[in-house]
Amino acid sequence: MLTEMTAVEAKLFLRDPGAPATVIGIPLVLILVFGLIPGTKNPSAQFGGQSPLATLIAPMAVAIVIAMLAVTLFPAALAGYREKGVLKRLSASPVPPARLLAAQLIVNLVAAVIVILLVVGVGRIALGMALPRNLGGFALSVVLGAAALFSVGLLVAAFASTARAATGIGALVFFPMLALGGVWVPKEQLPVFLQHVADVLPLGATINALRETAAGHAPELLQLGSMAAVTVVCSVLAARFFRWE
Amino acid sequence: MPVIEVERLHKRYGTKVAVDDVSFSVERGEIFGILGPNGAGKTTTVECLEGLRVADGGTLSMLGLDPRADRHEVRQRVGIQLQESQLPDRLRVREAVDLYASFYRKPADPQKLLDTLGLAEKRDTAYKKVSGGQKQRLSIALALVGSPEIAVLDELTTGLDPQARRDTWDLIEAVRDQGVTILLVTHFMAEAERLCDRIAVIDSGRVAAIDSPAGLVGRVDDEQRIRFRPSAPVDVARLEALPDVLKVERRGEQLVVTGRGNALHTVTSFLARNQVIAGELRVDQANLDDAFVALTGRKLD
Repeated sequence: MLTEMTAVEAKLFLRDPGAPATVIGIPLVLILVFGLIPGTKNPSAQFGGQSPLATLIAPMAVAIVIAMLAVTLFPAALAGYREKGVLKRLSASPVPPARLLAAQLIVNLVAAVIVILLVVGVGRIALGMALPRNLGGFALSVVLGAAALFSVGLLVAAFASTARAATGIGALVFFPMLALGGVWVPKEQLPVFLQHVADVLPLGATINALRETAAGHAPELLQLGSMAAVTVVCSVLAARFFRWE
Repeated sequence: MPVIEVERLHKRYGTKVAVDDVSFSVERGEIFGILGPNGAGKTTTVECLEGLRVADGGTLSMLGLDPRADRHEVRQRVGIQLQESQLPDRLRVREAVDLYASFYRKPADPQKLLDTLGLAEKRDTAYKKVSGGQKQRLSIALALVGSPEIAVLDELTTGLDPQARRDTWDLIEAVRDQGVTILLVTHFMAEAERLCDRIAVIDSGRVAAIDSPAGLVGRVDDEQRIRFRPSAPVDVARLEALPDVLKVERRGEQLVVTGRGNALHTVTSFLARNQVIAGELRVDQANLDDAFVALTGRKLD
């Protein structure tokens, strides 16, 4: 049943006129445009002797993909299903609506993995970008970052009564996290206080942990702890407040 | 043995009583209607039966099972059509039926079901592109795809045009002929009258009456209204003095005679004796609408 439902959700995801193009397009354009700017591929003293492409742009692209899926598309889909009565209709069938939530999650996570592989692969093959030096730490940061951001998305879905509201709330969460997370201004150029904020907010924690690991360091404890804490708090709240109708 | 039993069902939302005290039972193979105005507690009643809501009091049984405790078994054997539930816009008709078929132990053949419901041509059309009537038929298909023993249909034909409504009624009769018991929630008098073997009239959370449509009408006074345009002046006072005639009113060129029993015969004989021809003669007798007004003290729509 989960298989059939996931297959259907995957088809619906791909049939969306905007979502797949945006989710693949934004990170790929990011990596290609910056990759073609002279100098970004070369080692730079400012980036600890490594290229800005591998240690700043690629982590940013990866984190943005996860965040777009988790905080905007995923909650909009769930809230839309609640709004239309799709979840309630499932409650009246032998399959509980939680199964649809699981199918949605699987589709979004698979989409995230595919785009991440695409970003790293295109960077490596087309632009000669270095792979993350601490590959295990990078993978761990992706997993924890996804857990944190999808929990935020679930919480958004719990409180948004319509798909439009979810999209709106998602954007309200997404853009400040971009600004404060070290995307518009890299973390190092933020005042010290905001640097901590950047490591605590889930999107910033993800980006900065990915940056550390891409450069070969271990992720900072503050980043890992924040991602874990956000995951726990947001999923518990979402489980408490989520309504199926 | 009844397949659906509701005994003294009570349900509140906060302090608002949605269902005060409702009892009825449905026999296998019946089309049983729950008829009442909006807000009477019809949907709450069936949602408690479906296990979607927890009753605050009373006992409920579907196929001898408890709708909450045995919900898994109940969901396998009872098909449900909900009021106002939609499907994802880009889901295609056939995909929806296939998906729901995968939920059940003994699914119906999806293609056959689409043929029966007249949706075969729309099988590859997205949900948002099909008409209101087709959406409604698709939601009936989803209620039937598990080969249920009971189908619960809530406001089945709301929003359909008259032709689509009649087609849906034919369909429901065909489904019943295959042995499926049908519990129908409606606020359309014509629908209840046409389809139901028995009707529970629900008003303000209580059962006002349970009977066959004819039985309900029979409970109302056998008043009739006889209208006609007399070809020559008639002495209203003499008309009014006739046995079985209760009242005579003049409406423009027409006379409206309210009477009971043999009033029609008495009036037409009187007119014949006086060489008056009754043009545009019409006789209105009590129907389910009148029965409803008599039972609940108000009109349905």
